[in-house]
Amino acid sequence: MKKKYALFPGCLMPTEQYAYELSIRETIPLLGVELVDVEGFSCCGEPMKSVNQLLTVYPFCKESSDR
Amino acid sequence: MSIIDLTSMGEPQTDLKKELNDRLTKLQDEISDYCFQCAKCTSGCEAHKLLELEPHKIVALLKRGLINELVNSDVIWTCMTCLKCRERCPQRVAPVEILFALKNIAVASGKQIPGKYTGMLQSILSMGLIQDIQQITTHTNKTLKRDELGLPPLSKPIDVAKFQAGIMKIAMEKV
Repeated sequence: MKKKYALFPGCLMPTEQYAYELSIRETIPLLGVELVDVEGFSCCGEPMKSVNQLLTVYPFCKESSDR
Repeated sequence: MSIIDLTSMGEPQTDLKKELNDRLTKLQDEISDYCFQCAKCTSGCEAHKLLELEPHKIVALLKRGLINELVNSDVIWTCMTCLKCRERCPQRVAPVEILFALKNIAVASGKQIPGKYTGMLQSILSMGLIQDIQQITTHTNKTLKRDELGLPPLSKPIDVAKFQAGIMKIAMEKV
């Protein structure tokens, strides 16, 4: 069975640094790993940590709680 | 919902302030004592090169109790959380934790967050990313967007209202 890997590209990779994402999508499948794009993706919300230390918890857990 | 709603949270503010002060007191009394001003944090600081943030001075000022001066200064907002200072510190002081505590206190005491920073926060609240999809220029001088490079479309938070409500809930209930 093919291994699956959920890709977490962060915030800058999918919006600006496309080269990294292009090379990930090129190379990882060659290693026999299937990349899965997360539905309803959000970044880790790091700047919110400055407002309140716990605020970043929500964007992290969101994916699992939505299902 | 805007970032103003998030920073002015009404009632729980006193609890929040007490907890933040406890955290800062711990950092001030125990952790910053280990710092012997080797300035390794500053020499690696990403924000020092462009924005004049000097983590070892922040630690020194905290040790001398100049908390109000730090909280009211804009320089604490230039930290970009690369965590290099924590990695490099031979005494495990982690200036980044001090900066987080100072920024949290600045928000809790109603200080304005600098403009660009507010923009990033607002962007996370509205679409779950710190910025929208940008155009890039290739080495052949072409301006391209994400889809033109053959990348799949980006999936953003499906239910924005639910996403914001979740963040708001954490902000209100327990800090």
